[in-house]
Amino acid sequence: MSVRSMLVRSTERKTCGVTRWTGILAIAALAVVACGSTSTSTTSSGAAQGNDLFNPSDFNASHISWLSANQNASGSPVMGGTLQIEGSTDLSAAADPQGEYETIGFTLERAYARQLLSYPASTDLTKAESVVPDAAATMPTISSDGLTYSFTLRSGLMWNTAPPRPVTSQDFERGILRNCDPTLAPNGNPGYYVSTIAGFKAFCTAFENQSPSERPAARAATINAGMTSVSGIKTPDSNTIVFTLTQPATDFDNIIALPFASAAPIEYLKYTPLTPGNVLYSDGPYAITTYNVGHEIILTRNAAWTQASDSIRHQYVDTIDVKLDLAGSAAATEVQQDLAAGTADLEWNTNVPPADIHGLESPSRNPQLGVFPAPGTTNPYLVFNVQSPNNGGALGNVKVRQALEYAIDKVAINKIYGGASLNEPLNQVIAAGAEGYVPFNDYPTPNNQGDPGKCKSLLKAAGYPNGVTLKDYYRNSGNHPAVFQEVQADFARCGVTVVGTPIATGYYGSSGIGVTSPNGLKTGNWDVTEPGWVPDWFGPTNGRATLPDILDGALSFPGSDWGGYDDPTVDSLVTQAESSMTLSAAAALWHQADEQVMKDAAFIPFETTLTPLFRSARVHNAIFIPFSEYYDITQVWLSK
Amino acid sequence: MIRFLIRRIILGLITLWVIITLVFILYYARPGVDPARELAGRAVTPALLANINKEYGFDQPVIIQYWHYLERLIPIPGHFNLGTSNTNRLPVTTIIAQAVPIDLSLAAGAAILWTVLGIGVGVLAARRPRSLMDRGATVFVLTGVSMPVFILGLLLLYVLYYLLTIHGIAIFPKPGSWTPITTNPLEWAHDLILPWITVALVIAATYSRLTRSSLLETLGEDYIRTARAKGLSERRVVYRHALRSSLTPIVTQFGIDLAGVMGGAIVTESIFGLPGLGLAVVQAIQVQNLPVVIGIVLVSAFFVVAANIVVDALYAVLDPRVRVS
Amino acid sequence: MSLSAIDVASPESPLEERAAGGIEARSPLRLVLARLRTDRVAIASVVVILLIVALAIAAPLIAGITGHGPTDTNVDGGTDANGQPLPPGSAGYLLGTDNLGRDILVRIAYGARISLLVGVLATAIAAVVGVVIGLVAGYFGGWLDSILARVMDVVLSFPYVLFAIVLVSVFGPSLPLTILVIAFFSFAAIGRIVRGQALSQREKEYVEAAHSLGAGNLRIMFVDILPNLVAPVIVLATLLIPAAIIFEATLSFLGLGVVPPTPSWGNMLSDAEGVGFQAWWFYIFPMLFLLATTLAFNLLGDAIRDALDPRTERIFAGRRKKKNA
Repeated sequence: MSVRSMLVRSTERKTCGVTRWTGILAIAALAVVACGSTSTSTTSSGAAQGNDLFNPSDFNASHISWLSANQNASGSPVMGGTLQIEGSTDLSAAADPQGEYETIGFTLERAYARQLLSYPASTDLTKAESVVPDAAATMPTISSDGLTYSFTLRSGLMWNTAPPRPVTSQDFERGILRNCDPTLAPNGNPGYYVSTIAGFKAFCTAFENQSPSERPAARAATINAGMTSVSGIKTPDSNTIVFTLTQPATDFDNIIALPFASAAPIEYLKYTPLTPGNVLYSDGPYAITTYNVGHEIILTRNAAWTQASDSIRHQYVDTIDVKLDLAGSAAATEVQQDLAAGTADLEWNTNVPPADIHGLESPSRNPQLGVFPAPGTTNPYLVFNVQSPNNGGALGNVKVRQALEYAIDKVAINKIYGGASLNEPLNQVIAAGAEGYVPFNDYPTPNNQGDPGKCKSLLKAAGYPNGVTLKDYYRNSGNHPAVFQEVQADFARCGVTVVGTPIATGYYGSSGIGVTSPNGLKTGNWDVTEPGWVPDWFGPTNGRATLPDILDGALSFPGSDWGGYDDPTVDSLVTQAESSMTLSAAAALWHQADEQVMKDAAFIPFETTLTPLFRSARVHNAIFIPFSEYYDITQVWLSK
Repeated sequence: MIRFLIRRIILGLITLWVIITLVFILYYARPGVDPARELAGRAVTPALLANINKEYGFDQPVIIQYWHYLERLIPIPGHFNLGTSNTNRLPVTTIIAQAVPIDLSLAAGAAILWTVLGIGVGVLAARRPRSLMDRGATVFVLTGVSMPVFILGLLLLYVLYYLLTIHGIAIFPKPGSWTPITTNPLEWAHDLILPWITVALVIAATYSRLTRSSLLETLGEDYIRTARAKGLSERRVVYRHALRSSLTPIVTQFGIDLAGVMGGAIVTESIFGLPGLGLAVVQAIQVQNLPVVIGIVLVSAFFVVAANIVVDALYAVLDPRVRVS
Repeated sequence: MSLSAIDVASPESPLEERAAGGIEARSPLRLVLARLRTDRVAIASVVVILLIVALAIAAPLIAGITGHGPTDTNVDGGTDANGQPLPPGSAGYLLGTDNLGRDILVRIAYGARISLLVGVLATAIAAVVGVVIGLVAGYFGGWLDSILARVMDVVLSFPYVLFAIVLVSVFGPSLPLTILVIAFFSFAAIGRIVRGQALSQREKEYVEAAHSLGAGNLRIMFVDILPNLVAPVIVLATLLIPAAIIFEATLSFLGLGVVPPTPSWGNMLSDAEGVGFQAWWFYIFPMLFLLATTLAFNLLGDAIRDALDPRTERIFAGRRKKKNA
């Protein structure tokens, strides 16, 4: 394994902590959903050699130039044309900015939903990961105690209502409040605001427990009451919005830049969310004009939008036409054929199929192929139910878990996800590109291919010479059954029997591995499971968008500490990291927490992954944006 | 005959009721089932579950839930309600309405194909028993009845789509192609050729077997001999006299198959990516989208039962003996 | 695909006449065996079936020789650099590898166990249940018969593929459930035939004689009548076996049958679909074995029927040709 250098940070930005709730809910839920949806396996070979392709500090090096590899920036932008996007699977929440939780939803929202702050489209990873003003005129004014964030809207922001109406600060407040609507089947999104904004938690808890079938009037009343009752959000005038936090948070900018914080016009209170036929209003360059559920989404130019009001997006193509009704396992192959033939321009929910990558990379890399980083991603990984009573509570024994750390052939898991040029074995919680990443490996095996002998002898030493029998809940689609079978075979080699239960992908988190009571894990329905995890944002302040995912037992219910791991040492390290004043101090503490978790063997990391995408030849200015793991569709123009 | 029909209709209604009740028990009243949890989405809290139980009436006695469940199935506007999809919140009736044209297209084309092919091969085989033609028919029937639908579909895709396409002969459309007949009838048929063959071939095999044996039997009867003795042409004897009365068992079979197409359609639609009821139900099961699963099961059960009754009626018309029994 | 289609497609002619005509000293069974022995097709089918059985029995042996267990993944050595399956003949893999680097030959051998187990066990359960219910209904008649006959009618008119899917979606896929589901939808086919036979048998003199000798109902049903029904049950059972095998493969292909990593020909093909047609060996070999098995059983069933009742026209004709030659 090549040596990776630590992510170098020269900035000495003042940093403080935020409560750990922030990351917990959102991250795991996103992983469950987003990783499930992008599970089409991908492969690659013969990519640039001699560089550590997984090290973010190399991402911007000119000899790799990851992000600009297939940008096709040549020429001056051409206006017009229809951008044809093709693939499978509809959005999960009817394109509602507060409902969508998968990266594909973020991709489309880029065109019609704006946030106070957002990420620019840039082929420079550092820039692409740093927030800039979007609907806000400037970056927020932050009080000296770090508790008050004041935003002023820029002028010229309009809804495409009839007639067009200015976007107000109240629209942004309403948008944030909507996150707690149970009808939107909230994932982790409310957690970000619950943990940061004063007075939001009480509002949100009450709202979330409302039956999802409530009438729109009841919902509107709740939200309207929240507009005045939530002490941490004030809108003194229609251009100003002031947030008061419960404690300082350096990543509040990132939280405000999430698509969940998009503005929501007052019209949305008339609807039962997610009901097909609801009109979605746009304050971006495009508006959804046709939404044929399960088949097609068409966006056309939004006449109410002006380039002067938007420093991030553009309005080059006339129409964006998303055909999303391809089905079956051959969907990715079909999309690839159409992209190559030029009958489609971009993919939707599919990646380049394994069989095609080799031909695209040799003898020389096809310029239409782009392979992009997802810094900090750990997907999938194996988590132990440390509270399981099965096998006499064996998984509560750290020695058993440590033994099992040696069992997995991580190179094999890499291959399931497309091979060595797209994936790299991971041996710790924090992956390259995330805050606090320092490479280490407590459980080395030859070539990362597993060491059954060592696993066996350690199990014996732990008092289990005849192994144990573990129950595994695995998702029934995509690569998940293959990963399960690999895990099962690897464990079998060290004398551990794994019995699998397939779980419908859509219910993996709730009815599957999730529990409804704090003691739910003690029933021992499952012992091990393989979720995944993609951070909601990237860059130097995403510390708690990574590690807290698996470690905080006390705060996790009904969150995503799936295995119920709870360790006071880790908790205290996290608290310190959150409240440390410098990035370097925080990073060191995150790293210590990482080491502690690995020492406790709370989970088995498998790998960190890259994303291969393809575009048609006529697509220009294809810029990858990390937070949606996809091209920015508002930058693209088409050659005639 | 009326009595016969009434009996069949009652039997059909009983079948339907059994299915409806079994579905209720399995999905709502099975021990350990927690429908609120299925509806709760991703962030499940006890308070949310309690509220859903109250809102949807899951906290009421099973018998009352059953009553409400039946009530929602009464086929009058305002009452009839199959619920909404857990994933895209479309009414299940809308999802079914969107998918039904695909199933109808699939069934109609396949039915024509299997009838023509099945009866055609059967007649050719019966006219010259033990001829080369008959032996060819034998091979056809033999392979047909032994061929799982999904293997036939995969084979057709592999040979006629994949192998041809990679050799630059892209005659057949890629899986997932579907054009409504109203948009372009030619495209419609082009997109459906392989699925039609997939569904039809297996059934055509049974038809050939039935036609052949039934026709051979008829050809041995006295009135056929009489017809021949009268000097009628062989063609006339076979097609005008014998075939007509040999068709009775085939009509019965037709009803069973039309209903059974649902089974074949599930597989065929999955392989060819056709967005019909079969694909919808398989996808709904994968994500445990229960309202859609239940809706499709109930509606298909209704069609199956209805098809059986229609066929029984036809059968009674064709074969007077049935009316008496 | 269609389980219930079998008996309807081939209305059994009563075998009583054969029994009545069997004046010779040779027992009917020996007569049948003698006929089968001269039937080339029957012998070929038996050979194929025995080969598949041998493959199933020898599965651990094959695993031992190759050194590859059926669920032993070998992604590192058994796939190429991109994680793609290896073609037949590569380094110790006669039939190639699958997506996890497992030996396709070994998995096919273990898959044969699943297919045979499901086919035989499901059919056996169906036969026992079907015979008992059919015998009881036919022998006692009256209201008991009415109820049992209705139940069987309802089961036969069930959209069974759909309902199998419902059951699996509720209880989760597993091998025992697969077997039970298949047995449940097959028993009525046998039960109906047995009932019809029992109805006519109970009017026979020998039953009357047994009655007058003081034999009890149970004795008459199972000792006197049952042996006369064995022949049609055997024919039907032989034809139900391939149908059950196909049904299991179909369910597994849809991800609703045998759960990974246990190899079944159906779920191997489902895995293959995830890889793509370029790994043709991953498709073709499981398909070939599945087809060979179902074909052999269908041929054998047909041959047995023919041997039991030589006067029926057999569609899978083979023996007569030989005689002519």
